[in-house]
Amino acid sequence: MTTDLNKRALVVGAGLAGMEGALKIGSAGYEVYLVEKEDTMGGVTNKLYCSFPRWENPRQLLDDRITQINNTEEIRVMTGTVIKSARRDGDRFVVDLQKAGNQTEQVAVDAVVLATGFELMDASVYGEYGYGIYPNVLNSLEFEARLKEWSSGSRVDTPKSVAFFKCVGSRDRSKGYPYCSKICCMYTAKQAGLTRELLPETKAYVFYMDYRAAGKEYEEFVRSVIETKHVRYVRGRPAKVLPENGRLLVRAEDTLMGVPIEVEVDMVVLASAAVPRKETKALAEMFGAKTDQYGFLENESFNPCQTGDRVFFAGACGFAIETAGAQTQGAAAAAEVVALFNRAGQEAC
Amino acid sequence: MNKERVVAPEKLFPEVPESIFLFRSCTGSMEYPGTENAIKEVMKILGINIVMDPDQTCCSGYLLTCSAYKPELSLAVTARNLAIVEKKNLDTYMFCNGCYGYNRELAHIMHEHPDYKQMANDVIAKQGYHYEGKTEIHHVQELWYRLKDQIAAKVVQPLNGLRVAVHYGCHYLAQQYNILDDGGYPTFHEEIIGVLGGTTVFYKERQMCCGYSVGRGFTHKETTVQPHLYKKFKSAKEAGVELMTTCCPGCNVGLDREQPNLTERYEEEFNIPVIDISQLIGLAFGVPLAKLGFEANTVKLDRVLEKLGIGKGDSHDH
Repeated sequence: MTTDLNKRALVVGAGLAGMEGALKIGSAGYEVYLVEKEDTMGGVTNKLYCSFPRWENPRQLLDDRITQINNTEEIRVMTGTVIKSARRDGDRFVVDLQKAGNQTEQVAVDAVVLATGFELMDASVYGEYGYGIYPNVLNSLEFEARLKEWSSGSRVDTPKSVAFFKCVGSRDRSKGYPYCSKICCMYTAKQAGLTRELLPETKAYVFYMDYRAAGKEYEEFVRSVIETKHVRYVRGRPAKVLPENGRLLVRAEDTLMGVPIEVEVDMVVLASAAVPRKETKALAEMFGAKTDQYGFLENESFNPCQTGDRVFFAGACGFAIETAGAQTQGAAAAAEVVALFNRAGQEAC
Repeated sequence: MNKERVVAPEKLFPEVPESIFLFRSCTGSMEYPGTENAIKEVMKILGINIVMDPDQTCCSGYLLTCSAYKPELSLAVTARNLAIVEKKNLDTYMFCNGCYGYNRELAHIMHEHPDYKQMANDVIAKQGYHYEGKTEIHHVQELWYRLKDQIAAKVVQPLNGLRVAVHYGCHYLAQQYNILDDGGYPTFHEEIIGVLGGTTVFYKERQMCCGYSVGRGFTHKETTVQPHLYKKFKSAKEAGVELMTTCCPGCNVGLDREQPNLTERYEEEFNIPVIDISQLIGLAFGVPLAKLGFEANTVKLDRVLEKLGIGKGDSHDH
């Protein structure tokens, strides 16, 4: 078998999914441009203090991947770089890149993997929760940064009580996000459990509609948070967050008890809906890829990681996904690219 | 703030109307006639012509909420009222959250379901009316916000830091789309009160319901409404509120009329007068007291007027 190793791939986004994709394509012997708009690789995972369901520090995983990428000479990492434009030229894409300091570079590639990740919905659309009004109302990624600070000791002011709200945006048709964001049940359990672990004196409440723990070791994970870390799960959606005595008063209903309740806390953490990054749609248009009504990338029929001709995708730009799933998808997209390149090489002979 | 669903006042009113149709409110006329009068006086000062019509009836919201009639029948009432406005080629301005909510809701239903509109038109055709659906439905307070700068320029009796608390009313804020502010955390009334020279007070239970619709007039007042209102007034009192404003006569009834009962039951004096925001603008514009109709209030404004230096016999009363 002969293969044409002159094929090149472009991977957009160096989060977990993009890194995994680039690594697999590069390891197969093909050149890869790994383009990342931020100055460092790692994406959202960079912001995480801990992963579920095994309480692992994702830093070790990231460092391992970054080392492997740096040792793979087929991969050219281009951080601080964005895609300015792209056009189709036969079976290739001609892509204009913009680097820091307005430097530009043009590259030609034979396949593209989009791995642009996700972001959180702006939680201020719920005025009643006071995000953007009260400083101690955070979204879950901002809270992850607090966990890092409490763990390292760089922040000493700690809350006596924290309330976590799930489904903030997700499953709310009136806000335009009728879907379940899938990862929030698990990361909220993780964050509440870590709060109890790092700050044993601090109380943690999770307000939920129901919890969805479908995954290997997931149900056990949530149960352990409730049973051994003593996080108080309250079934009911909070109605309001009000300032009270320098703290925050959460007004909610406990639907299991059938009573309205009030809980005074020092911090509220909102598990905002996972939404696609705004640039994903623009990138999809440049490369002839498909997006759905929310702006997530959409797969072609029967192929879960293809979104256009010679365009593949992986990770949370397709839909919210946990760390292990993002890696799996990155590897799957890479397999598609490698198969395409191998086949093209054989046909050329 | 919820920016996505909020409409800028300039977008809601690209141009300030020369004339508006002012939609009478049953509760307003019966309980606090001073509100309608204050709106007329303030509009006169701002140069906006008010048109009304004696044939306009109740908004039909009461028929619906009391389950007295099927919505199909109250649709005809709405269609008839709006048909009267359309004949005058004007937009409709409500000063009651109930009128605003029901007219908007029912007009929306007729807009989205032409067969319902036809049904309503079949009923009102017997009286010679026809509703097309072209009159836009606004709340008077939205116009106040649009004219905030003009209002600021016309103030002759600044409120001198009077501690004013706002009550918005659920039936305005609960509208899902096309309202002026974030229903979860509104602030536009506070801005209006600010330009009148008042100090706005963000009391804890600011967005708690007035209690009117949860049964003031019906049963279980003691178990439902009074504990609820006690909580609201307690937090307003603790925040040092001297005056409370509403933008709905129903809210005004709930908050004003019930106060003596709260005092009797809980043995605690609140003495927080409640008036419409239009009456407060009228006060700041120097409209004579007699035209603002504060006599209708259960909780008297004596303390407020004294603080502002307005009394009987003042030039204000001429």
